[in-house]
Amino acid sequence: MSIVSDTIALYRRELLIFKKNLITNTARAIIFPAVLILIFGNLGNNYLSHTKIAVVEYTYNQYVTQLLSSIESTGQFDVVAVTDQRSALSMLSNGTVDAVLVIEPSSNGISSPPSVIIYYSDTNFEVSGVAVSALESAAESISKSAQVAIKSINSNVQSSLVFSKQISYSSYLTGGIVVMVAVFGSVFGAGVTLITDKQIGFIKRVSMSPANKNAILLSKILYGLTVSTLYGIIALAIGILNGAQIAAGPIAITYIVVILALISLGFSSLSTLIAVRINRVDAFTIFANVITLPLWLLSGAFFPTTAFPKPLQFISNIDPMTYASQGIRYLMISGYYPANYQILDLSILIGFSLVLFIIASYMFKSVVK
Amino acid sequence: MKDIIKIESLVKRFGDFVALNNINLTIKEGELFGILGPNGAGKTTTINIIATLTKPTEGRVIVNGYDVVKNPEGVKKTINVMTQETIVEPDLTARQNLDLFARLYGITDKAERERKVMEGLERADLVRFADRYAGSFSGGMQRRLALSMSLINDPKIIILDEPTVGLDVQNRVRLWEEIKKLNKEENRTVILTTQYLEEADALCDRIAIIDHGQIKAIGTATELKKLVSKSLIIEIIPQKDYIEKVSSLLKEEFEIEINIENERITALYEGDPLEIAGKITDLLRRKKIPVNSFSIRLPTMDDVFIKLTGASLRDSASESNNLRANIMARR
Repeated sequence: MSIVSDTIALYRRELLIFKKNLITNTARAIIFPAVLILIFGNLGNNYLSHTKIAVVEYTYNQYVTQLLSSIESTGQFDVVAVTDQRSALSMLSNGTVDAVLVIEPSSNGISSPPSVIIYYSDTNFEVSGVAVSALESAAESISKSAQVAIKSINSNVQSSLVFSKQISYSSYLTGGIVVMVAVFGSVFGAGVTLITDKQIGFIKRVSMSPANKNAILLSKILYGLTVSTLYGIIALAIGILNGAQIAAGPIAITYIVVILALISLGFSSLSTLIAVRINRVDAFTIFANVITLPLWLLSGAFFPTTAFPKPLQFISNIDPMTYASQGIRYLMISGYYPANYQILDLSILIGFSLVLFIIASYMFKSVVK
Repeated sequence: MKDIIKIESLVKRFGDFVALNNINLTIKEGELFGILGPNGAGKTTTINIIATLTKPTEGRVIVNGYDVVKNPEGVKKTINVMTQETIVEPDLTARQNLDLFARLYGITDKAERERKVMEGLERADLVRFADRYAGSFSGGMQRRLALSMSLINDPKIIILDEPTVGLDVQNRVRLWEEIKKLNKEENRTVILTTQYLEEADALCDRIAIIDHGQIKAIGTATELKKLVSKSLIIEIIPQKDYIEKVSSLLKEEFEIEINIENERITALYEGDPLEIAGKITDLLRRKKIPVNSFSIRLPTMDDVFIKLTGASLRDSASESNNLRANIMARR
């Protein structure tokens, strides 16, 4: 029999069962993200973190006072006074500050407007982009004759999306929760149904039919992928209703769905992979939790990974969920998804999904014999 | 008649445990063949090998000309199995369950599939419940649905693994009728495993008795019973006050051993049943002794089983269960 028609038949079965339990499934899809987004997204301070800038003042006059007070008045920046340019730039390169503002020594006498140089790290574009434009407008507003130069430095600062005044924590959180919901949906969707199918003897029954055995695995993974992508979209809708924005515009939702589908494919495969050797749902739950909970917490779903200690940052860097939520946050928060990050995120997600899918198909042979 | 299943020197080992030890068996086309044995005797293992679910360790199994190892796909198209556990999807309706298996058995044409599904519903007597979820069905209804699902590909050979376990008397009798119909009217070869002696006795053309992975005897129920003894069993239940009188009369007239149990008189007798029946009825009539019941019959399958395996079915079952538990514990 053809693997395609068998997969369709079995996938259809999964969807019919899903439809039968539609109310439970919908409730499950809504409650989890709703609770997390509504509680964590609203009850905390929505503007948790400000952009940090280091200010080096080589001149001190009325213009400088005016500039600094105009920067303060935006309420967007934490200003750190630093005595010399060199230490300010090293703070920028190690990520202590997000931008450096250097007020040049005044050449035209003490009472003239000074030149201003803004440094930002080009590996930390999302933050710096916002900061630079705000600083730039502040600097220009004090005097038309002020010389504003913007320079970027290459640094080793690790990239991460940070929320600031204009970016609500709700949007940040939604990005993480959407990925989490998709991952949990896949892990507890595909694998658990495979175990219950083994328990009621369904797998054995299908193995007795001429149906292609790999169709069982394919239908499970497809089902996990469909359902968890759907759950992710529902979570996204809840986030949007709660005030999260998609900076890249509504068309970016398609991109978000692609990212969700990729991460769901990977984790659905992982789920069937675990379920192959386990015959009890409770034992499966333990395994699945042990794997997914740390990956979730380390993916920066709640807080930026840059706040983690180095060893945890390392794990975060090999966690596929990090890349999925990073991609979604670029689309939701900054509205600009740099090409190099697109390539990085997508290739990691595709690689992860493919590798797990191949391992799962290999392992699955032992179930059906 | 053509041999449709040929099992030659079949051995199946699970680690140290020998599940099947040199099984040789031939099943003819159109036969209703019973495999009788206690739990753990090797019935399901035999079935699983025929159904290509388990590979034999040694030996050869040919089903309808296809080798189960070399051409499992060919085998699967010829046969279908109703498993011991009732496997229906509780979250699908009766119709959806049948439709799913019609698809898995490669019935791609929509009209044909609908026809098959309708046939299945009619066979299971579930037309009225076609769009109810199988999870809401009683055990008997689920079993009927499972049987219909196993017939969706119109198989030449249908294997029923302990089909009546856990059914009430009504449902059991109904299923027996259905099984007879599959065999006699629809001309399918039926292989039936059972641990119920009366089931094998009532249904099967031929029976193989299997214990500890070995075939102890094969034959018709009558042939097997003759293996035990050529004797007939005479059973008389007289009215209460005449028990003593009847037993002494029988002893005197026919010189046979009498056994009295619960107002029931039994005796073993070798010879022509009609002749002795005439003599006994004449005697009782002459002496004007009122009798509630009178019968002459062959030994039952239980007697056969005890003779062949050295234990009654129940003892044998618990013994093999213990053995199985030990093996599981060692793993």
